[in-house]
Amino acid sequence: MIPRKLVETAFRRLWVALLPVLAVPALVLLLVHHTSLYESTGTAWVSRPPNTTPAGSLDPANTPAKAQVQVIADLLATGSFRESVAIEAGLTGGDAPRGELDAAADAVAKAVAVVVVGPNLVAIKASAATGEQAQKLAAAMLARYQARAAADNTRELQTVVDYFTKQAGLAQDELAKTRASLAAYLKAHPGVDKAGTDTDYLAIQARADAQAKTVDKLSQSLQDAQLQAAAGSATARDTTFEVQDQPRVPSAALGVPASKRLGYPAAGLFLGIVIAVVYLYLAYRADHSIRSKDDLAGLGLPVLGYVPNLRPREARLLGGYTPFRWIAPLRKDYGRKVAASISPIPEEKRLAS
Amino acid sequence: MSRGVDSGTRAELQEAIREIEGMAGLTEATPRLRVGRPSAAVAAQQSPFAARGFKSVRGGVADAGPRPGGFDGESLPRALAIGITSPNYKDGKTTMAISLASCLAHDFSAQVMLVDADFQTHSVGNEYGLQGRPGLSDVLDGTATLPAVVNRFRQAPMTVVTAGSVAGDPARLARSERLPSVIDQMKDSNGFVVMDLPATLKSMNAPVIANRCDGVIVVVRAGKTTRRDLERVLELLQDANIIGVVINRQHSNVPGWIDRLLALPR
Repeated sequence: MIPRKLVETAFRRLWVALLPVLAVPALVLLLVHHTSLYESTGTAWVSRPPNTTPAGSLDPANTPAKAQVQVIADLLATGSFRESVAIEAGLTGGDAPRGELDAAADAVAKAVAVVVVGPNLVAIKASAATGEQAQKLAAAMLARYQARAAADNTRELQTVVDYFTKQAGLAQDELAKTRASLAAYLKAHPGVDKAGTDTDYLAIQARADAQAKTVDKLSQSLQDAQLQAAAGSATARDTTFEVQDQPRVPSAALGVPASKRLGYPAAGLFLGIVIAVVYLYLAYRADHSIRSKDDLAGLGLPVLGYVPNLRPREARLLGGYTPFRWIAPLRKDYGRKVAASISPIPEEKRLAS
Repeated sequence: MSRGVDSGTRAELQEAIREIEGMAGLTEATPRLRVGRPSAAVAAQQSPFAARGFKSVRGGVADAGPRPGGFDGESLPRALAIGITSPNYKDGKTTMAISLASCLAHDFSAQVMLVDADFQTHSVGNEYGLQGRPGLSDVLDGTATLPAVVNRFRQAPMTVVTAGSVAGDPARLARSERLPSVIDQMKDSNGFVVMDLPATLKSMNAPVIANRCDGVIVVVRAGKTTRRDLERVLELLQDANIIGVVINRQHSNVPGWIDRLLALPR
């Protein structure tokens, strides 16, 4: 048989026991609250970025896509790049305060992810509260990276042009010196046999011819480099980063995982019930007060009667509920006053000594 | 803690009880007390706890055995002196004493004397607006006679004796040699003497006065009085004739239908 005290404890502390049952799942829901997120994805075909491990590397896992992802990740680690993406996506303005720019840059870092799809395919994903914002973020990310890649290529080509320009100049100077030496030799030896066996003359002539070929080669390379640079950055960047699919505005939000939607609240509910049961059991075990005849077992005393709790009528409205039950005892000596009211001697004037 | 009684005394007691019940016409099916209704007579008639409590009291007396200074097993006392005490204050002993005395007077038309034997709180006197009136302490002190301190109610067979106005040592008053004779004197002129005793765990006078009573009722407050407190009270009142326990201010939070469904014990 269920002890009355146990049931009484459960109902007397019902509100307190219900608290964890309601509060813990609510807290869990609050903690794992999942707002609707929209995700937009753009893909790009990539080649190995400049200044990375060259093709034919012994590491087969280091694909161009991975190398590009690493480069993009490095860029995302810089605040200036994130700020440029945020401004491009319209998250903030270029003249915004520093705090706002930093917040927008942090938002970009949280919202953008770059993943490897294939050896040469990279996907840039952006998530945001709205589909348009997600699409703008992904597009901005692609645009900024393209711009960055183009700038890198242009800078590299310019370096090449500068290099060949310098080398061609040096070679031209050297050729001029060699030709001056040859002219000086001919002046000093007027009767030299140009087709003969004068070895000194032949050596100077051969050096001048070689130098002329070098100059021609460098000039050709310089022309090629200048042609590449003049061809424009668009052609250059396409060699390393070519957008395959432009990000689109997603039509539906991302689905909430079942573990978040049902599992966590259910676990919270279970935890709340466990807490409530443990609390009630401890309250029951800690209650050594006398409430019924069962609590007098072993004392050998009969229970002569039970006097009901005489609570004021106005306290019944709220006093019937556990959270307000403390109000009733505040009525000083209420029970005694009631008892006096049912006695035949309620007033002093009715008494006669 | 069995308190046996020989068959002769038991039969004699039961006969007397039957006479009392015949006078009162007390039934178990008395309606529930209407709280907040000050109509004294109606409320008293509708007090089931007092009625049942008293029936249990006389049952307890019938089961009570011989005790020093109490029943001797040879004859039924003419009147009963019933002490009401509790482990602590605010447990409801004064409420119980007033209710029991009132219902005895009303339901049984017996002459009842309600005595405030708590020299510290003067609860009964305060309740009836008799503060400062001479009472039991004056009688024990020898400054007044018992008839002089009795407050009599004209419309019911009930009298009230306050704790008194002597500002002396309560312990000295409780241990007064006059106390037994005063109680006997009270019993001479009344069918029942209901004595509101001090809280047992708060005053050592309670066991002293309780030993002079024919029976003692211990009032415990439901949900407040612990079993350990009650055990300490029983130790202190080991020489008194404890009739039983009244559980006061009992209430249930369990809905009735659940109570019935689970058949919870009372």
